[in-house]
Amino acid sequence: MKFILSILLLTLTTISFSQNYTISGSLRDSETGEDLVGARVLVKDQPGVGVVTNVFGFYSLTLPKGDYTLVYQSISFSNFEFKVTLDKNIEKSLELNPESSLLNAVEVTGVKADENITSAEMGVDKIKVSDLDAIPVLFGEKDIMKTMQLLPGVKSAGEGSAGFYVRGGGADQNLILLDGAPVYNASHLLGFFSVFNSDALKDVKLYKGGAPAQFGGRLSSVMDIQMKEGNSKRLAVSGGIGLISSKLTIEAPIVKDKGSFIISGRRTYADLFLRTLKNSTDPQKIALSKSTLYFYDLNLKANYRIGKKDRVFVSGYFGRDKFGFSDQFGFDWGNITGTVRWNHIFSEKLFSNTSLIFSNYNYKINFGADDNTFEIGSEIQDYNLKQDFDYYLNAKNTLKFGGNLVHHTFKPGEIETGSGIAFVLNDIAKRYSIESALYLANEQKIGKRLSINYGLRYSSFSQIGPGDIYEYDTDGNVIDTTAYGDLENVVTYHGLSPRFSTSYLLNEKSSIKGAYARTYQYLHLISNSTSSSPTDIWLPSSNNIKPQTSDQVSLGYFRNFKDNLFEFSVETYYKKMLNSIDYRDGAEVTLNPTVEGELLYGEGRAYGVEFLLKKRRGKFTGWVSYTLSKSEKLFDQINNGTWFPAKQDRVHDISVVAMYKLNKRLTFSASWVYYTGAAVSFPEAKYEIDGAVYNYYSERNGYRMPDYHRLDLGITLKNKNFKLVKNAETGKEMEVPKRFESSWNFSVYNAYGRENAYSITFAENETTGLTEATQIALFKIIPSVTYNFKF
Amino acid sequence: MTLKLISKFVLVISISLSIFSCEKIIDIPVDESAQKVVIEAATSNLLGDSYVLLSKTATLYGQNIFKKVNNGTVKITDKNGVEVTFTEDGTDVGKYTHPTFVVTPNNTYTLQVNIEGKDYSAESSTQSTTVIDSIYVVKEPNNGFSPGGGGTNENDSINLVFLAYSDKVNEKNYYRFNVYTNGDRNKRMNITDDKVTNGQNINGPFFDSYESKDTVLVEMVNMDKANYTYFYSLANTSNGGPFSASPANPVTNLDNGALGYFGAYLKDTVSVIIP
Repeated sequence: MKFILSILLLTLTTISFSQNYTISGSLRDSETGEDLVGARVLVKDQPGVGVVTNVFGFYSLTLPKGDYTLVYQSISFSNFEFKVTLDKNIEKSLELNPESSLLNAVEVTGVKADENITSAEMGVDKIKVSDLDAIPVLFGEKDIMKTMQLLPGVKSAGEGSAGFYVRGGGADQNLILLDGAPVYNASHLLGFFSVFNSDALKDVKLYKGGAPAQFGGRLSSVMDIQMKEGNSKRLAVSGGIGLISSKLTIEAPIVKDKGSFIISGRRTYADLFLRTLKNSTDPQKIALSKSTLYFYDLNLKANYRIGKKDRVFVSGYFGRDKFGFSDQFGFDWGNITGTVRWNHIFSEKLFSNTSLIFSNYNYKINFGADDNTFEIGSEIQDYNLKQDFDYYLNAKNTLKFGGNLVHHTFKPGEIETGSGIAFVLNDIAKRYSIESALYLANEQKIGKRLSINYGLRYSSFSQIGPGDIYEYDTDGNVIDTTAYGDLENVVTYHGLSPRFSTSYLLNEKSSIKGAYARTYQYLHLISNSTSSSPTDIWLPSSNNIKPQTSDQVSLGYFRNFKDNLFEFSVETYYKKMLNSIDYRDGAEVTLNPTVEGELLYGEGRAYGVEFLLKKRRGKFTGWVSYTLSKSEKLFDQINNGTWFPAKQDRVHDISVVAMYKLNKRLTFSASWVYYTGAAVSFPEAKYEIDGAVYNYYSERNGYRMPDYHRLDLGITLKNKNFKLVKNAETGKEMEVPKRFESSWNFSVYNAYGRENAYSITFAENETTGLTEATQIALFKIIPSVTYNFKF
Repeated sequence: MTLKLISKFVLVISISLSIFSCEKIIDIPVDESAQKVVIEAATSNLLGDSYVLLSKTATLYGQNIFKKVNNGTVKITDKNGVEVTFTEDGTDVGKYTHPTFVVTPNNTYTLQVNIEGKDYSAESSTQSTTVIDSIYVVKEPNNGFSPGGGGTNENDSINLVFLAYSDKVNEKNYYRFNVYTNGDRNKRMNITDDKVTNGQNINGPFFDSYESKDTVLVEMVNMDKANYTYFYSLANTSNGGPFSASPANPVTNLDNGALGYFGAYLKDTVSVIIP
């Protein structure tokens, strides 16, 4: 007893000699008041010691008692140095000046933009929303999702589809979060635009190599999108008017520096062009002139600081696409998300965020008019409670832990008929499930060179009643039906997902990184088409559908050249997926209450190597990315049980992006993409049944669509944003910045007009009777003009 | 029912896409070496209505010449072991028939074919016969988008043919309706099951319009699930356009790599003359 007591005393005295104190606070942009995400707080002359602000701009750094010079830095902001004597816990929040700001009183030190070398995160792509300005995109719309596809490992699902594939995974394997709310269908207008109005966004991060433990539920990637909070210093308005769409964003403080809001809206008016067909003689074109084709987006957010420790956010997104043919057919779909979040600072080391999230995706198809109407609708709705903690244990360890509880409701098919329709069709039964997770992770620095990020996520998924649950035989016939009551458990799946990533600094300029992640996916997108369409149905795991799992290992080498002027990386990965889902040949996927009987289960694997070379500064900036990869599947009942290429398999994928800033006003940009065509099934012979000729296919996905390539060009011309004022004393003319800024953007999509194949069909020529292959290409040269303004 | 709606939807999307897109014929080389055997075996309860056609596939880009197979052996056995051999009647090469064979309800039939030394077989079963209760014509105003209306039809009104029948609740039923207008077979595939209409009295129109004085004959075909799956996947055999499923061969009930189907059908026919 006495021995233990003396040890305890000794330990306590030792601790009291090396007392630690914490400096914590929030970092914001001095011009707009926006939180700085991922900004660094470093200790000068102590390399490797420091922390990074979280998604709310909060940081906490614990150091032994003493004197320090702290350096606060963020990309495209001026560094701020702060001398502090740390002898008690200090609260230090501050605002950093943007590099371009005229308020720069401090020296503009070259920001050490070596985050790609030092960060333990790998397989992560970050996009700065301001970079989107220069990159030319279809119809002149700045688009986060299209720009992501220019990075290695991320592939477009093809023209006419906003879906994307990450490292050989399917389009439903990407978790897209807007302020924490899942967005189930991120595409407008059959994929030509994404649902994200980039004027309302602040930060986008794409995890492709296995996301950290706080994320889960999709196998291939997590796209974490943060909306802007809104300028909390003054009213700011920005917008753009274009040929196809226009947008407007208004942000202002509620109480200066305490609270602000942002409203951002966008609408297209493509159907205006259809009105011009009114005078045609072709009855099809006349019907089109009476049609509607538009979409709109609305992003709303407000936030308010209550005291020093609390902050509340409310954000919402409403988006809808409407497509109507003549007045007889309508198809509309859209997402609604809503999030209420509460930040609370429990102590200088413990930051908490509680979120209440609502997400809804639905579509409706209607036919007919008056009494002879027929409407089919499908919907998925989530209610989600999330709790996240960031615990900054000390300068070497940052812990993240928390939990998540989601209630899902699926309506695969709801049918309503007008009084003129004689028959009755039953709705497809609703399905319910509860998904939950707990996670714990730590980001740890060991010595000066090694960082590791390790964590464990425990997730569980329960299919619950009410409803009729079917059991099937191997041919897909229903052999049993059981009725379940409200909230009665049908089946529960659960599993542990370990996540691990590490980075080792070889020297100041280079590092190697490695990662391993296991993920579970409980929701599956059932699609009946070769390209993703809004009529795809989300189905939950059930007594028949097991969760999909994936294990991914990746390894990378990162090197910067010429003082971080050039960034180079090469990453390689191998991913193994189990319980992959595909459809029987001839599956009935639409409006089928027993659709689970149409599914087949197998496995998949994907592997590849990704190269990226980026030039970050100077008049000329841009990047080249190249991915060489393979993605294949194995199912007993498809292709005779042999490996076949997945639809998303793309051997080569190249993107070249270049931006040239001629002067302060004029910027030229170009992007060129090239990729191998998707794997597809082509017929090899034909035969006659019942008097008609049909094609014969010998294998699944044995052929390729023609290679895809395209060049986009753009010019941005900034109007003069200053006025000349004569200085009364010196008589010299000075440039005084104007508050109103504007610019013109001219862009050309597919500048050399290549007809890239959207689909290829084999059919008999009516005159010769011989089979021929017809290719449909969607877009040839599309120019566009947009006028953007800001004040 | 659903199939037609979906195809209308696809048609609409295709029309819109065609305004903005470009189409052209391209050259796609494929491996044309495979040759498969095609067996079309359709048997029914009507005398003289059963036949088995044997042929081979043609190369994809070649002429539509489907080599008929003679000297094959064709046998059908029912569940009681009664075996019947179909023979070529001499005039129609590749067509095998039998003078007295008819399909009966609640039976199971096995087809065995031998072509050039290789065996192929399939099974098809029958339940009870669901018959047509009535057929009648309804005249409706042409509102542009109703079944059969719009587009090329410029009449003020359209004539729809309605069919009524009662589905049996204790059976899983699969139906196909063949429509003949003035003796000519209508190309549209009308096929349905009873998943959402089990046990109900069905009353619905065909999605075509008919002219005055037309004689419309409707043949209602009761078939088994394997045949329903075959014809459903055959109708869906997309040629690979957007919004269509990954192209694949229809699901056949024949084994050993043969293409085609074997069906034992129970038919009922009724006709009506449009006033």
